[in-house]
Amino acid sequence: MLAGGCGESVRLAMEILTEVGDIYGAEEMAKIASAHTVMTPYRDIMDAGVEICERFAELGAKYSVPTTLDPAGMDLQRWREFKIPEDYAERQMRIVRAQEKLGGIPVWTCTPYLHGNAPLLGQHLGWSESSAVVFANSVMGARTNRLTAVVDMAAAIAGRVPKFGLHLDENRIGEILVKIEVKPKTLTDIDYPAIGYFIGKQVADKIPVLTGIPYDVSTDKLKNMGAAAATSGSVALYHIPGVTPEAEKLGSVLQKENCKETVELGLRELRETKEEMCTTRAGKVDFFAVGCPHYSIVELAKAAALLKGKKIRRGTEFWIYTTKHVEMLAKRMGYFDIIESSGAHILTETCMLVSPTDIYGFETMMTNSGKCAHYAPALCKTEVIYGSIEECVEAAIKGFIP
Amino acid sequence: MREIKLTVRGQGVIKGFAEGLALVSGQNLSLWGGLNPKTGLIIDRRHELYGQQVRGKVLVFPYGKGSTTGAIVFLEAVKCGNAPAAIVNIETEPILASGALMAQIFYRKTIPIVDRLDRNPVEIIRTNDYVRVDGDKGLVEIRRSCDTS
Repeated sequence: MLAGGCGESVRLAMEILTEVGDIYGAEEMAKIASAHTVMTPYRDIMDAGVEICERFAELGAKYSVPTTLDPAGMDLQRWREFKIPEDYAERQMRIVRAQEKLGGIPVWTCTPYLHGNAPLLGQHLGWSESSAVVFANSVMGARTNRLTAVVDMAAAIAGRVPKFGLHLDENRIGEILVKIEVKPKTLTDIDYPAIGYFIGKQVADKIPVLTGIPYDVSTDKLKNMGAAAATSGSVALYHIPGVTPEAEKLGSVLQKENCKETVELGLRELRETKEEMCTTRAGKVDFFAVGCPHYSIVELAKAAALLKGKKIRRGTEFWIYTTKHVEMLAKRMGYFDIIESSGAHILTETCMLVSPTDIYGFETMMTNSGKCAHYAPALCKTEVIYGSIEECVEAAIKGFIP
Repeated sequence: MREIKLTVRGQGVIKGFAEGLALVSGQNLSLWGGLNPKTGLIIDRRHELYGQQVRGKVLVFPYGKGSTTGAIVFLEAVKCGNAPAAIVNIETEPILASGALMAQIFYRKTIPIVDRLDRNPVEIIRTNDYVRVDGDKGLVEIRRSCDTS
């Protein structure tokens, strides 16, 4: 493959993978069950990204394993309605066409694990998207390093990744014990991203073992917690005994000698973390953005229930980001009409962070996402307030937070 | 005025040689949402380097963090001529190493990286020290002008 017997695109892919493997001491390649790539939004991958996508496509490259695509840099259907500049859209569509040629599965989502790319325990993967990587490793027990842009395409083309880091048993053992000392029954949706944000700051790239998370925690809560942990830190794997699959399988994650450190998170830390996630606390809010990671149908149903019969205040926007699949379900279930009648909108195949949200000149954003709260000041050029979906809807009706 | 010169040994992550003024932070950095590749400025308001220019600097920070989109942000910075000259980390994460590796493959541009130094680079290197980074030998040479008066 590296010699070029499988064509130039495979040779180039293998060159990238081999050199990454050499830096990190990989002795061999692992065959992967699937890939996921972030080489999708023009907002982020820019002209270098367009060039590289097109270069692979022109070389005739094909993804050799099922490969899902991260969100695009705009709603691929409603972009004109949302005033995306023509030259931006044109470059975004070049990326779309190149990814189509390569054979990418056009789910355009950061939650591929909810949309046809659901790996099994122990499978090797070649994934990027920090929020998806932490979910695949922790909740599903699959094995992927935090691949980065371009390397993810190389893995998808070659069907292989260099075997180091989280592909090896010995690197998946818990290192820091995080005791969540808040009554499990009192934990609500909005606490989970804050827990994740706290953990990311405390453990950086180490593997935390969490206690105090209720056994009946939902998929969405873990999705949102992991995304925040992979934002404030570079958490790629956590274990929750009794919840995540490897906490049992590896057994040793519980052994005290592996957890050299213990961190405690109580009500005070939780409150302080939520404060730290905001850049402002009150006043006029002109932009509400939820769906980072992309909203599931369950989360969307809750938003619809809160918005039913209500009107978003004039001069404010309330945008919910999700997938085409969830939008289709929302239409069938009546949520789409409820949400759009309230003045809120459902945008699909993109999000507030990977589309040019800064063009609208919003001043203050409110979100229930830990990942979004962190990145919004830099990427959307707004102040940010972190609050629950209930608080978001209440404030959107009033147009401000008292 | 006299000059202090110190050479510290580490591991070469990306080969090559470069030199420049140091820009040092004790905080971890995500390139996506952290660096604007079109200007070379740090845009993360939550980061102590907010507003600083990385172009041509020897960028020194502990570890990478955050988004996996980092490598392409790095490549765009290279394409726009706004990349740092070299990087020194306590430990370099694969996202950053991959970005510098692909700068060589796609843009023939060498940005050496050295990590795992004998001493903590964030403590011994100060912003505006003149630093030479040798990725082949894994050496970092630090020069600092001192006012002896």
